[in-house]
Amino acid sequence: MMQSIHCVVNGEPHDLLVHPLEPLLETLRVRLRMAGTKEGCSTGYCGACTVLLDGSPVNACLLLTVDADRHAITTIEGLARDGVLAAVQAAFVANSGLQCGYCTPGMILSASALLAVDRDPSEAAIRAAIAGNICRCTGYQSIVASVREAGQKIRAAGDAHDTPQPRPVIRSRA
Amino acid sequence: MIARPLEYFEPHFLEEALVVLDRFDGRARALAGGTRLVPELRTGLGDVEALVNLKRIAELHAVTAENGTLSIGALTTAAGLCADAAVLKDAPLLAYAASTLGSVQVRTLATLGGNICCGDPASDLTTALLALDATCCVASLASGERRIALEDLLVPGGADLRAGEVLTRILVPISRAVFAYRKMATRRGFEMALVAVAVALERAGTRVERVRIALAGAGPTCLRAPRSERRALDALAGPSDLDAVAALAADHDSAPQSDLRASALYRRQLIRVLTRRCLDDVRAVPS
Amino acid sequence: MSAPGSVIGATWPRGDGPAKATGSARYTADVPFDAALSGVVLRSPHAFARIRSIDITKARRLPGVHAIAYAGNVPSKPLDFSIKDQHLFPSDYARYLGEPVAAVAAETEAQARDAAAAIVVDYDPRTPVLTIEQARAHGAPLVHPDWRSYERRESAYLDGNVCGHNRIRRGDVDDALARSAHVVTSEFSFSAGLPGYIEPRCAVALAGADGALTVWCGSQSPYGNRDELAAFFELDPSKVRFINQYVGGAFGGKILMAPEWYAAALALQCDRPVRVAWSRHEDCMHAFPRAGGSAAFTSGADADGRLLAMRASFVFDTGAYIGYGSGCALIATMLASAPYRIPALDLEGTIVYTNKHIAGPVRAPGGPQANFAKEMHLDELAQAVGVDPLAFRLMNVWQDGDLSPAGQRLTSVSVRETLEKTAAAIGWGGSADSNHGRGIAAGWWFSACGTSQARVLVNADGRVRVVSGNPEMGTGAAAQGLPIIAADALGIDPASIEFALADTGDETPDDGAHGSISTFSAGQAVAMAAADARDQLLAHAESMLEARREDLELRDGRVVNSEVPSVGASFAELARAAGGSIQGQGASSGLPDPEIDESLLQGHAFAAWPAPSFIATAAEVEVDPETGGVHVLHIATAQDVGFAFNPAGVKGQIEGGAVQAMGWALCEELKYEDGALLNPDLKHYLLPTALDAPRITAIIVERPSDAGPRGMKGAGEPPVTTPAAAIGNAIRAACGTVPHTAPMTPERIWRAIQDR
Repeated sequence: MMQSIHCVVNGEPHDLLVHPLEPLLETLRVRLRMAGTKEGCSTGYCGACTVLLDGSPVNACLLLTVDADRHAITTIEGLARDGVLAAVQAAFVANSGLQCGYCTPGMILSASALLAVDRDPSEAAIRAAIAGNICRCTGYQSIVASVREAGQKIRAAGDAHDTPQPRPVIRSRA
Repeated sequence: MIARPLEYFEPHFLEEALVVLDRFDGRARALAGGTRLVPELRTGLGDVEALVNLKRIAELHAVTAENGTLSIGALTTAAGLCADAAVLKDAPLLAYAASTLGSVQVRTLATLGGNICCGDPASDLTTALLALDATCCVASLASGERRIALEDLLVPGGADLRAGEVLTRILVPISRAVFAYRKMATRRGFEMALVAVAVALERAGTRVERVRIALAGAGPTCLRAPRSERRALDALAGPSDLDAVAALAADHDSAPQSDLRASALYRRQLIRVLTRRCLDDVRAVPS
Repeated sequence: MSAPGSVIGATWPRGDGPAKATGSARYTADVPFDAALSGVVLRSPHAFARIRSIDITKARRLPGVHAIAYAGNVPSKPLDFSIKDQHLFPSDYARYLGEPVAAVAAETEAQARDAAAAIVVDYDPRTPVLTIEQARAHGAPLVHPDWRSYERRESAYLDGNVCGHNRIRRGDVDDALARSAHVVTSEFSFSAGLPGYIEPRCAVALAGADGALTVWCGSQSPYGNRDELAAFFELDPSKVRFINQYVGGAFGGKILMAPEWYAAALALQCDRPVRVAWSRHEDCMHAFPRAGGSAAFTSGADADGRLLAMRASFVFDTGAYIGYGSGCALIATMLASAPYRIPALDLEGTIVYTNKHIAGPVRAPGGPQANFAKEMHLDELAQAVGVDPLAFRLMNVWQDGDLSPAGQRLTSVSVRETLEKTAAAIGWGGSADSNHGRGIAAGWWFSACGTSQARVLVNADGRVRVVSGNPEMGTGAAAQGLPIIAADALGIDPASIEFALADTGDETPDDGAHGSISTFSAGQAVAMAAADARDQLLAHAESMLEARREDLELRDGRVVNSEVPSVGASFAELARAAGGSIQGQGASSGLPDPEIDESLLQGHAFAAWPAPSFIATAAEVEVDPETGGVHVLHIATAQDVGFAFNPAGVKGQIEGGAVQAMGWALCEELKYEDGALLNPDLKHYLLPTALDAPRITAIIVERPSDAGPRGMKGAGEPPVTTPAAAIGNAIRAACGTVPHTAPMTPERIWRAIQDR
């Protein structure tokens, strides 16, 4: 019944034995003790549990861990490098893009995914990219400003941008 | 998660899936994107004895264009539909409808087949496919593959699949139809439509050859609006008023229900308004 | 480079920002407990039922069960609310669908749920009271059949199903209406709404030897909760410890205990930590929503538009128990005629019980509801008079020296300024296409100051730490505001200050983060503690440097000679000279209550509003008349905060409040059928998304109060009180009509247009 899976989380390989019905959210928080990904509704309607699956945002509460097998997952813990905040994180801090902080990990990852494909997003594109992340505190305007500033900083840094791309280390299955 | 005794299968080939589903004879559930099923698992699945995860079956993800037909694997995600070159070229209505579904996160997981089989009467993808004359390919161990028009497959609350059957591909005739898709909900995003309308219009020169009008939130399933379509053929040929076409869709082709979210009366109004606006949209596209 | 006095009023990044942006900030569900039991609650399936018996014997024997709490084994005294109508677990009646009847702790959640299902409760269902009309009907069934035997505070009103009543009266309203050139009557209704925090509630409790109890949670009022829990379970409060984590939003919904109660009750029956965590579904079921209800207004104006009289009456549905629900009716009557000069007033607020969820003090209780009704009513009166809505208001607004509805003489009145600034920001009077409109609304709000104590510590390594009982729930009032105040006194960068989350083990009692009080109470306490620390630093520097205090100043973490700055001592050196650390202490000194005229009041214990604030919002919308769809283009709010300690924090409250209010105004609605909540989830309870939220202009006005520290006025709640009304008025301007029901959904707007 338990399934053997291999996935990469923030660049680190993991071999796990999981129940097929275990959502990735539970695997991250309980099994891997990574509490940065938050549970908000467990039904896909708030976005607090957003992580990146091969760079694409997904609700970790809807993705079964068995379906993360041979994929690369990025969580909020994977953005900062050696204690240095990624541009998008620094922008949220500097622009009051967070208050209670509960939607923030998911919000930052959704923003990060957008910036990886569009470093100069329009306001409409930003709002569409974060439409699946509900924030109750900020009213979203400061979040939009944060994403816009992050984009500017990333463009200014040129090719040495620091929006991390997942680096999968996939072993072939026997 | 409450761990329950359940058999779990991850077939890599369609045949394997069909064998398992046949064996469990209706007591197994097929798992596609999981956006509907996974939350249900938390609270229990009643008498389901097995879960068959279809995601590793490569042929269910394939999108190919051949002989005037676009074949879309049932496990193609909404995000995949938005980004696939063949879909964008040959069925742009479907790509557009997919882009309005849920949120970025949900689109990464939600599948075409899952949407159809959930049978939500306000499904964006199903509505778009109805306007595209889609045919569904359904496979089972017992009967091989059968083809059925999408509108004949839809029943209230789901798809009319027999035990052991799997929706494998959706076939869409390739055409150069111009389209319009309009959707109305209470908030401005991330919500199932109260009502949505899809219109696909095929022209040969200035002559209108085909019109398809499909409605979401207009009845117990997504549905076509045949009376409205027939009237539209004439109405779109010239500069005439499209209100009558829209009225047919709202008053005669629809059977909306009042529910938690909206009344039947208001749904009819939305059907009327969105149908007329979609018809205006397609008529305005230069030949 | 910082010097004392240069920090306050500037914009500083939050100290808790990096932790939240990296996912390392811990919320209650993130605190690791290796051996925690799972605590689960059994809920009544009936909206109203007599409980004949509860039998836990079978459940107690099931595998994994460590504790079961129910009326039979917890103290039987009522909870300490203004009316003692509620017990921890009911033994006589279940009064709302979902009311907790028992709680179970077991090794796993599955075992706990199985055991809860095995508890045998013998219910005798009764006909529930489900609406205000049913509650007030002659001969209505009683939600509390034994109400006459309930203890209550002297100021608490109770008569059958009516559990709150107040009135404010001045002059002769009937006479003034008879003399009015224009009289308009309007009625409104509003549904209950969720606080909508994104972090579902969670609490973990662990009982220790000799009466110790520790609770980990995210509470708006940890000291208040600690005291209440200790009193209820007859524990020594100094042995009961609430350790607050970061709070993922609260908005008034995390003041009353919920999972904390059940975790504690279960923990006291066993020796393991017990975690009670609501799922989102359960949180929606158990939240303390903003009260729904209705309002009726009749006002009269003279031919020019000067207001002569107003009669207003509110009824709120507080659900099955009073809890902290009485505030909305007291505040509504104080808001009903404000901020306008109206000589004759008759304002009434009533609260009724129904067999539904307990309403609570969601951000600005009564505020959005009262302003929605009042401001939309006034636009109708303005139209009858034939005057522009802004001009109508400016003709009637309070000025310095005017009297509040309770006869309080008003000072630092900035209504005109807030209205004019917000109108300018929205482009009032500018051209409008058809189906496009602008609306405006004004209000006022109270400031409050509770008790608060604080310590400001300078450690041996020179780092400064602020210890306050004020919990950080997201606004930044604590995590950002308090370090700013301390940094300002000590001349250092606020980002260098360590800020501790509230922990009652620190014994710095604080009344909590609610009611717009945080910066007042905790701010006063921290200011005093920082001044004390500063004094001690200077005293030690005097002796270490053999200098006089007048020659010394604080600069960048050192005390230096002003003339010769190279001569000085670091905070670290001074702390070591003090024996290891310097501890400054401080406490809030409260706010004096202004004089009011009690003869105007009946049953009103909340009519003296020290240092009141003023606020105005203007909104711009586009309406699609064929669908009723609304596109809110712009919300501009001008808020008088007296003095802005933390401008970034104020701006955050204005922007967040605008979108919360917009949600209440347009799409958020708790839907009930036969007492059952039909939409206890985020699929069908619609919170605004980034695609709904408009451009927001936040305008900070500073008209210092004569009572608050540095003239400040409370800031957290007013931003949700006016935008809904402004949006409603804008809709009316856009399409000629507006529903008188909140939320003004597209269907309701469309129907209003049809009925016009």
